Amino acid sequence: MEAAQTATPSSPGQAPAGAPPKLAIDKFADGGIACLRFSGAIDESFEGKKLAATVKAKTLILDLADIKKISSFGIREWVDFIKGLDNVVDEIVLIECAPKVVDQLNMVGNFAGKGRVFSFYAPFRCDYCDTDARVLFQVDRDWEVIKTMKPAERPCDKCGEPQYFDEDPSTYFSYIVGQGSFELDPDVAAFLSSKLNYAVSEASRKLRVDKIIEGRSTYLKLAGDLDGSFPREKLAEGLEGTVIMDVAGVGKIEPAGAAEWRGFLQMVTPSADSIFLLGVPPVFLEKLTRPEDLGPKAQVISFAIPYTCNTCSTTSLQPVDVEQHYDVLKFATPPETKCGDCKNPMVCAASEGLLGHLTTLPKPSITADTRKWIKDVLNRKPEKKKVATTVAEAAAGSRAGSFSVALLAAIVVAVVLVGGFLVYRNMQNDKAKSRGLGKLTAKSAETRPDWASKDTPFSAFCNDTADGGMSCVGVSSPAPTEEDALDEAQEAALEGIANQVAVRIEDPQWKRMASIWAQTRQARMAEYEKDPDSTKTRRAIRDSRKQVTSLLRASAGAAVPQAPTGKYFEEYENADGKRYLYFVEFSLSASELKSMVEQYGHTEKVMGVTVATVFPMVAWRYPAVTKGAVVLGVEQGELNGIGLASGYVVLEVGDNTTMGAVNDAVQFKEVAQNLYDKIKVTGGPFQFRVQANSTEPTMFVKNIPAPKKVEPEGGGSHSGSGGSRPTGPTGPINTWDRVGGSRGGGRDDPTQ
Amino acid sequence: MRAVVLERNKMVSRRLQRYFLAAGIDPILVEDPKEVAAAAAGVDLIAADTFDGDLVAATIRQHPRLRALLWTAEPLKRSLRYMVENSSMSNVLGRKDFESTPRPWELMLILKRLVDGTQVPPIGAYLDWGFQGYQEKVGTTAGRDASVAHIQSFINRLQVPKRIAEMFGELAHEMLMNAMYDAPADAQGNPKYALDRKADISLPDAEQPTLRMATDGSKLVLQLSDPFGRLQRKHVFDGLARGLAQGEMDTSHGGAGLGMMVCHNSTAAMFFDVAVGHHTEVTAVFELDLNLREFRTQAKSLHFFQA
Repeated sequence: MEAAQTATPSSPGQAPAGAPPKLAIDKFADGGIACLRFSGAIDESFEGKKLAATVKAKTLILDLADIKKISSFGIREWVDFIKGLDNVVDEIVLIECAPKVVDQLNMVGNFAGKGRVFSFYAPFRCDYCDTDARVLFQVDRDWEVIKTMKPAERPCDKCGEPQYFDEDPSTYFSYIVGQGSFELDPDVAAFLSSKLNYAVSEASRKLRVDKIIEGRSTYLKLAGDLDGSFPREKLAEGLEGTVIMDVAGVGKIEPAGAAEWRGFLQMVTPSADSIFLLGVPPVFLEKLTRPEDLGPKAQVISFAIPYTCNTCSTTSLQPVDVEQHYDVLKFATPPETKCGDCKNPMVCAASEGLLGHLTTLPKPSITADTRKWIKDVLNRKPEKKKVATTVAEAAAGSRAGSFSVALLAAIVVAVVLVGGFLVYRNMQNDKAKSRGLGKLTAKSAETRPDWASKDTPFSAFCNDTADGGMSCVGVSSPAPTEEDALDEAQEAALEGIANQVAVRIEDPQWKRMASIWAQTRQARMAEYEKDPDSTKTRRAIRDSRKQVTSLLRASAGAAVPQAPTGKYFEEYENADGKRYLYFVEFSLSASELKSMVEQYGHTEKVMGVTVATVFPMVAWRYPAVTKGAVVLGVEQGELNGIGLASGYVVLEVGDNTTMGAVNDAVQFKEVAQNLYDKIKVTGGPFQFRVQANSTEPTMFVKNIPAPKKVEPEGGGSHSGSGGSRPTGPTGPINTWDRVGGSRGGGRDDPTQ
Repeated sequence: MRAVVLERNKMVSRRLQRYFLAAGIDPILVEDPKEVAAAAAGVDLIAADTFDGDLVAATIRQHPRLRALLWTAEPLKRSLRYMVENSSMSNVLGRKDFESTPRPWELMLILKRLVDGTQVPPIGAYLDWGFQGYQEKVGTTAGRDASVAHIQSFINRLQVPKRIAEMFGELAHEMLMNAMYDAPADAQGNPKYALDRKADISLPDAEQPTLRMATDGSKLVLQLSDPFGRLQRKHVFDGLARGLAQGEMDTSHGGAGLGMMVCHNSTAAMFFDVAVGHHTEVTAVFELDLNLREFRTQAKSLHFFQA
């Protein structure tokens, strides 16, 4: 959706006609979510109460990135604005708060009212090249850094030298830390990422699929980004009859996602009678509804394009019914529409290209019954997700067509996590019901094996064996399917092995690595203990364990047992249905255990930096890190002073031409030393891509000067003068160099 | 003029002695608070760290003629508590830490003013010799905005971080709003423009404030004078105390609370000179040699003089 950069005099907070506006407010709306984007100064001319009266939304997002100035009377007006929203909106989310705004949040108690800050900018400064920068922090993604109130230095985008956080951190982060972390509601995240192109967390953009099947009609609702992990086979499986695809919630479309979508339509076309696309958003319309994309059976029933109301200064997506407006659409003309608030005509803000594309849309051929069914489905209140299913199950249900009418009337929800294609159960919120496992109805063996001596759900425990080895047992949570339970138990057991290996490595310097994951893991486990029914916390733990397991298998090789030495499950039944509790045991011999402890405990030292290979448990904190070298200590040496610190993970090393991945500690030593030897001959940047905190990896750069050319004896214009006058270049001279000072970090060294 | 100087750090005490003597004040140096009572008899000034604020306040109660001068390495909040309660305490000097004296230029300026009575120093007194600056009258709402833009452009020419120019622009806006909308009053003392701060106004020459902006390369000084002299001590100290208090900021009524906070947050030192019924002059000083992180954590100074 395009931003309507209008600053109309009628909008509260605007300057009178003729004068440049001090404050521009752009409004975007889509359904119950609205976003107000403020740019400029909030001072006495801002009329908070009036603005609050114009807001019509359940969730209001305030984008405060471009607030340049806030005066004391502006604060009063702002507080009036926030108070005025109290009874109007259910939720207020503040995003991309400028440092000015963060100052006010810290100073004025009721500045945000019931609003919560999702993201904010932190000011950084580079004294080397005299530039200021702003770095965006998100409370979900960057919480670990925020709560420590110690933002690390980062390389300057302009010169590569370190930038420092240019505020008093204990003051600057105080409000946000007090507020706490939270995740955006998926609908809000989708609105921000897809409609307004904001950065939101990856998890919030993952594709979700809701499915309703009645008779020979299937309704599929997609929400999230369309990328290469779009599960076309799973979704296409068993689809037949009339297929209605509600794509209104689709956000960004990556090329790989577009290809998957086209493949999906090709797979469905033979078995489907007709395919109808509903609520097609502008980007989808432009990219995926050309005649060759739609094929012979797909038709666009309705789409949404942006319209701007110049009276309200609001841009919103307006639905357009293709059949109803076909006669104007075929001439690339948007239908006329009126503002829902002020009833004045709106102006279409769609691009020429998009309007031109409308002429290619076929006139839909849809029966009245199908229209009625769609209307009925859309009007249904979303029910609590009661039954957890996999996409495969949903697809199987569709294929068999054997759902009873009563069951068909219920919404079957398939929550698809595209990333790992893991499916998680949605447990009922009623904790009292889910707390008990229910009645034991079946078990895989007559008696519970001795090794399954503890049954704390979602946990692992390890025992030393008589031969010096170890056995680790993982216990699943009460899962609704046997497969899920087995996966959970296996991952818990393998993570238990990794944990025990870390415990057995005795090098105190190596043990510093544990600080990377210990806090994150502890926090997640505590969250689970606090609320075992929370899907979010269970998912977080399972994602982390899966990643740890994957890394362990990849890096430890044959030392990790490929298959469990014991498996056992119990089936329970309660009011929520069947539950499975799985136990899995992995055993390691003494030699396997020793080999892992030695392998992971190995450290290397190069140019003053001690490193170890990334240990699998690091995945708890940095899920994207699959290899690298963890810095365990920095002493005097060539790399001292570059910014590397204990706990940082070096991912890549390079010079000004290439960056090479670091697989492990040994490779880091070799590559770093070789590169340094090479660069010190020619001079140039010695670069490290480093995971220093939970944000994106950052570049650390050390500029290595080229060796000085030595003038031949007796050369130059002062030959024979007795050597009392110093020779050298003219112009500004670093006198420190001329009197023999080193450039190795002395306090008078101007490069330090 | 004689002063009791309570300073526990001998090195700092010796340096302070030098400054006091240079300003024409005869200091009695005291390291032990127990010696203050005996030394305070017959002196004109008591000077100490805010840490000893209770003792200073008690001494003032015993010797009502005494004036007090505080210095502190802490946030202003604690000093304000004493200043709100004692009208004899109107000056607090920020210092870097407990092993430093207050900034010499500021200490000398304040000591001289305490010795010489009510003489208001020129803007050059806040700056090193050779400073550059300008002054202008501001008479309209549009002129206010132009003046703020002028200040920002003046500071930007110094090649300092943009945030400093923005911060001073904000400060100037705040000070001009007070000088243009709050200060002007009719013959009965009723404010003429304060009721509607959104209104565009045009002040007659006699009501226009004068803005001075200057720099010597290490300091920025913004000074605003209005010809009314209506700013009261309580506006400054009570407003700031309210703003710096824990908990919610009081935004329910007007007054100088929030505005004072904006000023406090943007400056290293604030000087208020009021000749009641004649003029109010507010001088804001910012130190350019500190980065913003250091600036935020350094102790700030506050001075109020009333003739």
